[in-house]
Amino acid sequence: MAYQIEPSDRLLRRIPKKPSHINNGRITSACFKTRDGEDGLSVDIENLVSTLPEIYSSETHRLAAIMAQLPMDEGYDCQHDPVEGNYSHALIVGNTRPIAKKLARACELID
Amino acid sequence: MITETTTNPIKAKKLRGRTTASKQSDTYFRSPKPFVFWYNDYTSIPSVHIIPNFEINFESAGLRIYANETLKSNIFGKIDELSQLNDNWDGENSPAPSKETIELSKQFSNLLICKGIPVSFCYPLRNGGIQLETSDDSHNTEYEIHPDGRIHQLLYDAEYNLIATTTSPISEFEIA
Repeated sequence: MAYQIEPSDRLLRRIPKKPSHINNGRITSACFKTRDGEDGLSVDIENLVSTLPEIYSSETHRLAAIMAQLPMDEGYDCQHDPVEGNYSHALIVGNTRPIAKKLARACELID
Repeated sequence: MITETTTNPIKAKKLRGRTTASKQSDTYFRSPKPFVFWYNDYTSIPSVHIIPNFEINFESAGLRIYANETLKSNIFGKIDELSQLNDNWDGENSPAPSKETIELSKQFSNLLICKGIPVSFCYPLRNGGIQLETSDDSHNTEYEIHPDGRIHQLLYDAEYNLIATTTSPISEFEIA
């Protein structure tokens, strides 16, 4: 059964460590831009993540959290999209380039 | 050692027309907006002190050349680092930037710097492109160099809303 994402849910996004995507403590919007042809931006629903190593390697990535309310307020659907081996996977549906900088400025590094 | 500097606008006005120089520094009073330039022998970084109550005129004093070369060297080095990436660098079949994209990014960075836009950072995009940014948000513009040679210019307002996007090859590019 699909999880219903609420505005109060935190969505986790992987941020590459190499090369660094952080400048003066701020994450670049490049981390939040979809590619042409993608259905949306891959994230994980924090409430459904049992252990962080399930969704990322701390050797190669850091994790940033954003409130689901932000993309929702901008008119984007946030959908639970479980994939094999990752039940917590979700999508911010659509082309996120127009809100990538907002997401980057609003997110919080959590590791 | 810095010579012949003053924060007094009257004295500076009297000094205008003179250019004093030492081995490590130059004071530019010929410029309508006087400033001091010096070169740090240890870090090789040129620096500028703008004399208060005056504006600076980089063009007339030639300092722009020094500033541009430092910016170029800095961003070119960072772009070169991206050539070390391998395919799948961010998972999900993310391609590494190609040699052509690396070279185009340098060429475009050079163009921006010559136009007075202080490009300071570059990041790989997950489609094999490269994103160029200034060091702060004062410029409010991002530049994406895509693998097909197109350049996207994304202009944001103060609240990070995307307000305009232009796309063109570098030969037809016009900076907003």
